[in-house]
Amino acid sequence: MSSEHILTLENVSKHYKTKQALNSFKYEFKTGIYGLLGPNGAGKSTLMNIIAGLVKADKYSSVLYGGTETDKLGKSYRSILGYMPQQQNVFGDFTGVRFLSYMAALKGIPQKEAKTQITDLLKRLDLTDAANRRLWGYSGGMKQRILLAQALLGEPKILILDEPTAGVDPKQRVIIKNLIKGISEDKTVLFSTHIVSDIEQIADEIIFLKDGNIVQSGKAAELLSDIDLEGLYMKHFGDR
Amino acid sequence: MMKISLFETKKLFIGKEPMIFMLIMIIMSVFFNTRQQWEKLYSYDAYAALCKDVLLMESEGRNEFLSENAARYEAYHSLELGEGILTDNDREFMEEYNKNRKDLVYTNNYWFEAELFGAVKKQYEIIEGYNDRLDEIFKRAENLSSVSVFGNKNSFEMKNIRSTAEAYKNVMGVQPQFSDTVGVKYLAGLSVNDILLIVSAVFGAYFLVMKERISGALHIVAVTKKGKLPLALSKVFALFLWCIFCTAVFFAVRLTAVGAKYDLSAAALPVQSVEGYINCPYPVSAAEYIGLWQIFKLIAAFICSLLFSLTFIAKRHILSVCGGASLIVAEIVLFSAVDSFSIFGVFKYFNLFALLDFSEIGKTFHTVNIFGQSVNAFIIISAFALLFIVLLTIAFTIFFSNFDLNCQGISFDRKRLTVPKVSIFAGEMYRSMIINFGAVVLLLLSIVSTYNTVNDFVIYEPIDRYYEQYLERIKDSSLEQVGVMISKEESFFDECGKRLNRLSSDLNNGTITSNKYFAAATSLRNELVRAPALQLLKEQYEYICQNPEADFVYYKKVEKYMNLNDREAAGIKSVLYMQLSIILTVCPIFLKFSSEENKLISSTPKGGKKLLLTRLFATLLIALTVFLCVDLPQIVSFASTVSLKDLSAAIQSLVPFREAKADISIGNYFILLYFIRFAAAEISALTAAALCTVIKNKAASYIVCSCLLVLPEILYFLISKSFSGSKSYWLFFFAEGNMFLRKIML
Repeated sequence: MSSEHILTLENVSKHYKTKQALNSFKYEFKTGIYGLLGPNGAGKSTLMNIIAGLVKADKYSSVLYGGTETDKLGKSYRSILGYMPQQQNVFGDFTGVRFLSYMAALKGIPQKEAKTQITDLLKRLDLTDAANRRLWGYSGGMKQRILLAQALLGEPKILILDEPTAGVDPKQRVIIKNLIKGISEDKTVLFSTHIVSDIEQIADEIIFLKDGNIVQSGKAAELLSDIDLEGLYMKHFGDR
Repeated sequence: MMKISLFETKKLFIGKEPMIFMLIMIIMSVFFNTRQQWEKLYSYDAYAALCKDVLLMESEGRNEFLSENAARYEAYHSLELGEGILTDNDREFMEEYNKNRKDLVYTNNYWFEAELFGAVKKQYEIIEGYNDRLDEIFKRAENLSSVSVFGNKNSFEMKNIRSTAEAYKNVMGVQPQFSDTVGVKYLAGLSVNDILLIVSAVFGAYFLVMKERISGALHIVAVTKKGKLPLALSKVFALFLWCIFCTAVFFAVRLTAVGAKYDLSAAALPVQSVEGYINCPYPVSAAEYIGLWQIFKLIAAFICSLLFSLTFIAKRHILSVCGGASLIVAEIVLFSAVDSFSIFGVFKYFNLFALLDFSEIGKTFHTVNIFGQSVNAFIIISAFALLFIVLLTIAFTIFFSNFDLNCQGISFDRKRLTVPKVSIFAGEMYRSMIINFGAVVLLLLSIVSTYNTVNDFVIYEPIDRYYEQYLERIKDSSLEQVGVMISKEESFFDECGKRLNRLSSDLNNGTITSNKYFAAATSLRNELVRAPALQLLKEQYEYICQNPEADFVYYKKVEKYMNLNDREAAGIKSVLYMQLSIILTVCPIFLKFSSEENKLISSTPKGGKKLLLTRLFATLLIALTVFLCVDLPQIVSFASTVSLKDLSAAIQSLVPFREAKADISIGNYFILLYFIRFAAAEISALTAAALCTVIKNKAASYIVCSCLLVLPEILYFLISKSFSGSKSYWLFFFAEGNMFLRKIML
């Protein structure tokens, strides 16, 4: 694997006023699906925000893509990024299709290409019928899917999905997981979730985060050889 | 249930959005109420002074005083214009005019003085003739009852006559009094407040019902013990309190605005004392009448809020809202078009707008033909009010209690998917023009500006007309020729004056008959009436002789566009419209987004500088559009009115600009003016954009922008000229353009 597709985090820390959200996080993300597991406040969202360039890490932190600091890459880094936020209430007054057009414009995707991608994503995520409805009228699951659709616009190399399956019915969860699995061949996908089974089924590597620290990480196949993921989760985060 | 009612009420009275909404409504109410136009030729002060003087007189002499002076000043006016005099009384005034002319007391010209006395005389006569009017009604009823003209004593017409007489028996003991009733009349008349009241009532319904439906809050409360019928009734109660609040606030604004300008002491008098209300069949004071009307308005607002609450809770709410709006339109049509005596007459009064317009209806006794019976319209209106409140309340509580949690409303999903233009600019304009109704704002702005331009009439005095005729005469003449013409005219007028004096002395000596005198004098006066215009022309000629760059310009055509001669208010009004429109169209682009929205945007390659530049470009374009909407009607009107010759004349050709140091033509002045107004629109838009970017709160952004861009204009109308002296607020003067140019040029 060439280094140009590797996202490297070195000594990444983030300190808020009263809390150390992330503590000297170090990891190398290649192509594949990385599942982030941890209780609330573990630092999952902070990590994702730092990778997405939305939050500045503390001094001496380093986020590199292809060997270059992502800060220095600037626009060209953001052009290969697909970000799906956790909260659903975004651009409620836009219709689904208009929201995707707007995001496509912000991602610099040309009109013809954007049209094809939007039509295709709406179909794959079962949103064609609701495309002309305003987002505030969408159900929770539909909002998740439209947010995932916008993250997938532009065929990003790095996908950051913050709880992509939250609030989604089982059928749609399967669709989303299959979609993520299908596109991850040449992409780096980070997704955080509380639903252990989602990670178990699709993640290539799993990272357990607690209080800003990695408590365990590794290939899914190795970690789960003796114990199932739920057992592993309870081992790290369950009440004693 | 009281506790739930309290919570529901608090949502409306403490909630951020209702308070901002009410603030905007109050600002609009203040603006429109302080613009109360006095549309008579004479001023209100003149009218009030005359009323006061009449009231100080003995009652026996009042009618004579008013009649005599009305005739006097009418005659003076005719004599001034050189028109013929007909009656003997007029001749008496003619002699008085020539020898011992009475001074103007209340106004500054005879025409206005005559109009004033005539109007007050008419008002006085109506009041004095009240009892005779009532006697006539009773007599007519008696006479018609005994004559079998209608063939059937039980016909609707007969019943109507009888019921009318019965109704007016209630006011037999009423003694209307003459007084200054202008203020009370304005207070009792329809105003923009009534529209604002209905809008506020609908907003209350939207906030308590629709918004909670959209946000999903109704889904949460519907499963609780008191989440259906008790909650529904609590919402109805809260809406009722909201309507009371809105009615009281708007009335208070109107009362303050009207009371600040006009005397309201006539409110204590019987309502029949108020001009236009002489036929009112209710034995109440004007204040009681206005109070009763406020109650009807409150009921109308409450019915409106209940109606829209019902539409908002309906399963297919978009269709229902359209249905509700259509019902309102149908009510307006029925109220305006239906004849109360026709078989459909009941729909005129069984109508929401009959409640709103009760003040007009109450001016006289109305009946409705219901199956041949003559029914008092007041009963119909009251029945409508009661029935609809009960029905709508019941319907709302039933619908609310059975609200379908699964209903998504009507779906507009199309079979073919159309992907809109992929462009950041399109997205920003969509947000401004469609989501935040910017397109509607611009459309309204264009309509209002066009309407104002078309209805902006400049009063042409006789001097102006004659001056225009002179300009036409000297159009192709050289300056020398003009000087000769002026001298000849002056000599001619001198001669006319001398002949007039000779005629007067001949009449006094008895050398000529009065008829011969009248004929000759009239003819001379018809010539002399041009003299003031010639004087004006002469002054301009003398100025041009000293300043060759100036020219003869017909000032009346340009003064409207320069807002000269006390027309500043028109300019400030257009600034107000411009700034308001800018706030409503530009702010939505820059208002603070949610943190998740910001994250989404920031994670994209064009979500930084490119987005900012695109938004700025959209802002500048919107400001240009606003400028065109406000000023294009005026520019078109200007281009079709003012001649090229006038445009090419030096600015000093206009009297107010004689001292101007600038060396520009009138045409260049206007180019500069519209450029300044365009620049002001852009600056205002950029200011609004900057404020919204910096201020981290949506509501605060709107408030600060309003204070900076709109409040000065509103204060101008409230405090008037004393505020216009303020130099500290440059944008105010700059945006108006004419005031700014006059300041720098003079």
